[in-house]
Amino acid sequence: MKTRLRILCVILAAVLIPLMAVGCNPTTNTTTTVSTGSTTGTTTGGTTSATTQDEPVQVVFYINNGSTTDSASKAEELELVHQWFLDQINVDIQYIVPPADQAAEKLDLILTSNQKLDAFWGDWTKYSSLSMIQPITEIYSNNDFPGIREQFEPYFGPMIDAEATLWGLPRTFNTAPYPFIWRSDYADKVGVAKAPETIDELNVLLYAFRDQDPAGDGKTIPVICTGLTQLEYCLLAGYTDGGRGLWLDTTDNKVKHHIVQPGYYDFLNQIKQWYDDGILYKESFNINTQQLRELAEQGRVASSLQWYSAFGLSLQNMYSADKTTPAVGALTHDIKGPNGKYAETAVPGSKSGLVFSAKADERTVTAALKVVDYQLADLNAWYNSTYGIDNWKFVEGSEITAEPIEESENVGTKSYQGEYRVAIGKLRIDEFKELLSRDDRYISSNGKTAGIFFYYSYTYHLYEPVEKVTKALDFDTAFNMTEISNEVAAYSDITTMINEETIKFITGVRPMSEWDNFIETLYAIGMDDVEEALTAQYQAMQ
Amino acid sequence: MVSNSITRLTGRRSGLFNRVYRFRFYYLMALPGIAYLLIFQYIPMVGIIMAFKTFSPMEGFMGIITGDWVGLDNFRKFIDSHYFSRVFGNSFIISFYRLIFGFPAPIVLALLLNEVGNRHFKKSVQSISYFPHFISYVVILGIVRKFVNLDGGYINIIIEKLGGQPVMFMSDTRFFRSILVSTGVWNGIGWASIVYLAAITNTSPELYDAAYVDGANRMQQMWHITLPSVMNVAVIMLVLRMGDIMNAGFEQIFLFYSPAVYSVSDIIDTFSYRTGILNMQYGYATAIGLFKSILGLILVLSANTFANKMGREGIW
Repeated sequence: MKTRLRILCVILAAVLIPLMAVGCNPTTNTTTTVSTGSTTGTTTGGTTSATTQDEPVQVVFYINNGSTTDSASKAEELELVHQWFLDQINVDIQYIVPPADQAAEKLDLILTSNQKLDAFWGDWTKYSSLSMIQPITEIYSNNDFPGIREQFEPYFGPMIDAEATLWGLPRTFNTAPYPFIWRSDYADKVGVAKAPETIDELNVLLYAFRDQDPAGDGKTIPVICTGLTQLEYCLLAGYTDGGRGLWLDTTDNKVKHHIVQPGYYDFLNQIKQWYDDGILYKESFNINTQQLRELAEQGRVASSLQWYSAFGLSLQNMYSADKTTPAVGALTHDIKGPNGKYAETAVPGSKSGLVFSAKADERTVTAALKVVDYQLADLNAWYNSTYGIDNWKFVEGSEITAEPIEESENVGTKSYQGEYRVAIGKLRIDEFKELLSRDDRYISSNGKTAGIFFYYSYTYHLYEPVEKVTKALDFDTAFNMTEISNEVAAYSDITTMINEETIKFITGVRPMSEWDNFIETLYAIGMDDVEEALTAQYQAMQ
Repeated sequence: MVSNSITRLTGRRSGLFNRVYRFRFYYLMALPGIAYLLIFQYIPMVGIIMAFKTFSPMEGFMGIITGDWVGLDNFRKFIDSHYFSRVFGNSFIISFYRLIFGFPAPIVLALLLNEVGNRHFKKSVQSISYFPHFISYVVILGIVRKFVNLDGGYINIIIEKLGGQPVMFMSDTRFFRSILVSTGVWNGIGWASIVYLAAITNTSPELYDAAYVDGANRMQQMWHITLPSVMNVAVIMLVLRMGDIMNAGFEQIFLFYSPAVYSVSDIIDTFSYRTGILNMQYGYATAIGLFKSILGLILVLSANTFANKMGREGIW
């Protein structure tokens, strides 16, 4: 009986397991037409490679670069762009658009499955330590990519490791993206015309916003942000030497977390004061950028201490919605803290860039780089990938600046969302400067802007102020935090504790008198080990 | 002739394949269920090995086989974590609250519905109570925010009208668990009451008639007839629920929580997600999951033994 039962189980398993294998076998998940050109390539770990040079190379991009939206483009527009690139550079570009809120999770699932994916945006330190990506040093040096060389090569730094290995293409560059942005029409209303240059002057403006309620009905939010990190980038350097980021403690030559810097306590005290006084929006630690924009576009937000585009795009949208009584924005990087230094901390070019799957073969990686290079080097390629084929024109008298023919959305146009634009990170300074110079509504004589506030802030207030604001130790030195996380078991506990407890001090759940106890607890659970690991990395890099 | 038939029948019974053939349609009906269990419940158990190995996700399934053994390192890492006691405690406390408030609620609802005389009203209430079960927690979060938001939330508007100060319910540790549990009960009460209503339906009407003749009022009938008739089902549901006690509701908590309320809401699953899954430390995440499953198994066994000793029917 038992033997027969076993035989039955074996037969059942023999039937079901192949069924399961067939059912779970991934197919290349693409949202556009796959090239019909037949390939006689070999399949290795889900990657199909063509064997002849004439056949198009298929490259699958994962569009998690923030350059497109969930809303799908029209199929015929997509096919036009797809075919255009196929004709021009013989690359069959495929893409996967992830759900906006779960792009990282879906990426990890795809990478650990057999689904074909050749290029995606991610932190090279994380994915290289997991052997999930490949370096591109040789491919880049063995081929000529003039567009990449001209526009991206000066910013390769954060994508290169200590052994001079290039792990990908940069997504963002050194920036100062945390200005103080405020509504100057509200400032005029409350009688504070001068742009703040010190924390005291900032306080005058913020308390005037609170007391005089320019939005009316008690709805004014004097200042808003989406988390403590934002406030730290905006103001911490005005209280500490190192600003927001790692710093070198010269008393013991150890690399340390910004939270244990002298001055951090005073910074936190100021934030707490704002919270208690109703200056800082009480839900600032619970909201996301979208919610911030909704509040801003209701006319309630008077100022932000936040990544520049969060409130900046709202000001632009408000102008578009109501051009008769537009919200007028102003911004500054010139606020100095009690220590006399500029309060803002610069952000280094990110270690997150376009990286290439370890499973992709050399020809596929080369083709992927060719796509990026072509979009950087050729304006037709750039605008076709941005707005769609025959859906843009150069603005009158210009040879570099184009505008969509069809009504523009925040991303691309209504019928094409920019799915094929993979040269993301392209510096559009010249294009935007020309755009701004064509219309005086974009910037008025006193530096206050209406109209396209986002273009203005991007063009004049993102890159240039980097030189004057504070740079933390990790601005120029690419610490590998993934390695630290692997080396020090308590690292994630420490991160959780810092995120959680600092907010409690601000909201009053924990009294500020317990600050020293909190720091002691951090060291008790392993902050020492983190500092040792950071210091060892720093010394190795020196 | 009769003897031959008996022999043939016995012969058939003795052959497993013949028996399968005889009941082939039942087996056919069971096949999808068996396939589901095998594919989604049993075969993935091979992955448990990851808890004891260094697993490289790039190697796919073979990574499970070829990874180096690390013994109980992943378990030690979890137990040594500063937050072990907190996530363990939160998982237990939130589940306990769900059990205390969520378990009797559908029984009470079923008992009350059973007493409703108007058939249309009863059906309407039933349908309305099932409805939340089909709403995702993302939508529920939106609804909850409409009520408890600091800015314009209905509850805070009432508080302000009464002269009080608005409260940040979603980031206040005093209220967060209550919000979780109450929305969870609201979400599941109608759906869970179905099984109890079915049990009540099976109660013999003669019992009620006899009780009525003996002078029992509606409350006494409910207490002495209806409630005992659902007790066996309730015990089985309770034992099953005990196995789930360490599953405090990842989806809901993940959507609702923020660092401000980690201290009362960070459970084993959210901790595992943040430290294991997001960092792609699958071995560590598997160890945490296995640890939780073993606890669940112990709780089911204990509850079943306890139920049997109390004279009730357990699961086995």
